Amino acid sequence: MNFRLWSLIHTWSSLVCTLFLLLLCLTGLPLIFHAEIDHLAGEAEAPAMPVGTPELSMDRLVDAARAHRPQQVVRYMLWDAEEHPHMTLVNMADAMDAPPDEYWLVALDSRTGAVLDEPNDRGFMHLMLKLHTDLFIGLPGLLFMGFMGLLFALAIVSGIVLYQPFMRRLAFGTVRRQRRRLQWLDLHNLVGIVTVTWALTVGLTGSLNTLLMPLLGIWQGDQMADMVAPYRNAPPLDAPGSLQVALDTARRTVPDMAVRFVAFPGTLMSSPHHYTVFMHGDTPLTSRLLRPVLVDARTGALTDTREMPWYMQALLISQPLHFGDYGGLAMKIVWALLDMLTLFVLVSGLYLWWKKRGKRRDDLLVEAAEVRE
Amino acid sequence: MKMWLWPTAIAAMSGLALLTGLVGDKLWDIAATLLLSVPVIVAVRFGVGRR
Repeated sequence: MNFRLWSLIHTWSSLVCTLFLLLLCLTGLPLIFHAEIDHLAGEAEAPAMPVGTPELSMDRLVDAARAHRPQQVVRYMLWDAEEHPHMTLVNMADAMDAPPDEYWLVALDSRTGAVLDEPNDRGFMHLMLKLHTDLFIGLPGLLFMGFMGLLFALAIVSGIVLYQPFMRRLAFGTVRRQRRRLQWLDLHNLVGIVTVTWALTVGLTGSLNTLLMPLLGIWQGDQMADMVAPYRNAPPLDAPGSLQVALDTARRTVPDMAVRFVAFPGTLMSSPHHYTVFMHGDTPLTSRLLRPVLVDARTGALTDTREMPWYMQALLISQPLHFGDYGGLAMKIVWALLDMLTLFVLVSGLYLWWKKRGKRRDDLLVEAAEVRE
Repeated sequence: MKMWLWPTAIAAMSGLALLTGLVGDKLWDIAATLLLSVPVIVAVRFGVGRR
């Protein structure tokens, strides 16, 4: 393809997605530090107790949640021993099949069953998250933002192709300051080319993350359907049995993994007849992956466990590469600086487009080449 | 081809940083953070620092 065509691709793929990319970069900045911001905002933690204080049976924690909100059902229970030790987060809703967005969170002390907090304040960080993900319109918004991410990737690839004709006669890092437009062009090219790997990774993993719901649907129709096939004609479950027994079964089945969360029977992540216990490993990489263990909710016996299919593993691996939350605070700061550099590339790109309107593309190339440092 | 030397080196360092941080822990995280800060340093050094 020639210069003119690549230039057209770069211009229009960038222009279409720039407004949304600006929004993504701006809302992404506070989201990088969401754990720190939540902590500063007074996030509840389990109080200090003597070392070795035992945790309650999971069934008593379920009872505690139900007693606290008797009109609702428990859909999921989650644990994060590193960030929130001795805390059980309970996701409740009016019905098992209520939409995923309609939930109420209750944080319990795993040792006493006391309600520590109900972290449902949909304040600033929730606004940032919704603007960053689905624009408050659910799945269509998510998929739209995913498409913007793909356009961003196309803009980056076409930008790499265009880097050569603009910069081939200049030493790396040259920023010509004789004319304002040339200075912005050189800065746009320089910052764009040095951040290319990060921007492409974050853009593509962001697009992949928008496919969570469709991929969950595929997983249910594929692996999950296969695992629960023996229960196809089973009578409906009256009331689920012991959660503690189900968790013990899961831990015995995969002893080298820990429980991340459990989906109750009838939820999106489980079947009508099972507790699905999602386990994770203990290495930096395997802690990001999940392994579902299906436990018969009536008997507490193991039904099946398998590694998640490749598309779910790809999704799970892509999450830290998008969030930048796997290397501590220092990496988050670098992530935020790269985010700001991407903002600069977007704004400088807009400026260059505005200034070049009406000029022929080939003339721009001549102009770029004629003024040397 | 010479013009691609530094962009390729920085891109490779960034890619290595992203993967190192993902699969490694502790010291590897520090190494990944330092590698990933290279593009930021280069952008600031050449973009703002050189007159």
